[in-house]
Amino acid sequence: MHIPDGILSPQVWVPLAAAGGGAVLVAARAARRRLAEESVPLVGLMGAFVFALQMVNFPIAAGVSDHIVGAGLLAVVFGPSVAMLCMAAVVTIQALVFGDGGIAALGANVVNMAVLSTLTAWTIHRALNPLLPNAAVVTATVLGVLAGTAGAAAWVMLSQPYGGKFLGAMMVTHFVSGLVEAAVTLAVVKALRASGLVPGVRGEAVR
Amino acid sequence: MKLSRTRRLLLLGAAVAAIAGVASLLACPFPDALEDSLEQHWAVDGLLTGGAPGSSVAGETTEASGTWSAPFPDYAVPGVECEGLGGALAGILGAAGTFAVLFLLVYLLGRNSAAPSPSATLASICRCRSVRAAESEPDARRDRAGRTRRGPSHVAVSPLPGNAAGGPRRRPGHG
Repeated sequence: MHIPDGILSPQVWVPLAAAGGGAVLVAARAARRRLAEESVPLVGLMGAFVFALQMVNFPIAAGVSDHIVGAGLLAVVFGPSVAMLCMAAVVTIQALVFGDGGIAALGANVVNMAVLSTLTAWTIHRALNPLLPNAAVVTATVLGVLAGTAGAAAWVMLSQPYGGKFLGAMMVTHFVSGLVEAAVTLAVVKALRASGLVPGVRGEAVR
Repeated sequence: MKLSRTRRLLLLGAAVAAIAGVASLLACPFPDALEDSLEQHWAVDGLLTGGAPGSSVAGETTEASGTWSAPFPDYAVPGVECEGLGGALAGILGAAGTFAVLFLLVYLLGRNSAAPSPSATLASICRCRSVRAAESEPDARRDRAGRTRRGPSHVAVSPLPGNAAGGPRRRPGHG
């Protein structure tokens, strides 16, 4: 769901760039009190893991593909602040180094994937985790993807004359992609918990 | 299977390399869901076919492509003719770059309170010989025998910056 350049109007992307930058600063401030020395390599590896996963597009309909966002995975494993930092780093590197997502649209993409998706996934996971740990991961991942999608659709619709059909297409395709992502996320979270690299269902690795 | 934390991290790193360098080559080439939605509506509204993607109802959109050009556009390495090899290289470079950026960022963020040295942080990944030698020094051995410390010293006793303010901290399971 990387918005390219040439889509967003300045009235949309300038405030979003400010919001994205501000959110990253807040996340960095919140993260610094949570980070232990031992978590440094794990955070870097999980960020690289999400970068790699985002390269693997899978088909979701005729002629349409999508990739995993990874916000749900990072939010479940690390909690909100560190997950936001990881997602922001991934999205920024994709835009600056690989031309994936626009430069002017970078703030919008950070807001969608690093803020909306991550915070939605974390909030839902925290609410459901005590009752149904597996369902919590699945629900958090799907709704996290949809939150980021709703953001992306909103910014595009504020800039372009697209109506409800655009929003509908975005939500349907990303819902399918979100289901795939939820399955992958659950498998990865279970594997990481089994490995002992991240805590069991009761906690997050760094917050 | 009881692997050290270092080895488990290396295993995760190997998985990252495999996904970035191998699985990425199997990526589906269709446009992604957002691009597809945009293309359909561009075609419908004539924005793309009109050749004016810079115009919109809300005013000028921004083409930033003139101000910055990505060194590896579309996950390809310029100069590498073979598409697959270029994609694999771009994936590995991107994953390594992401790791490096986050490693540095998280290290710098955690430095003030926890004061971990760069060498200790690196050692927690590679567990180099000097660290192992340091662990087997007489006083360290005595310490281990006396108090049965868990794991290598540079991992187990890292001071947790969040503890003072944030109450009991849930730690990764050592087991």
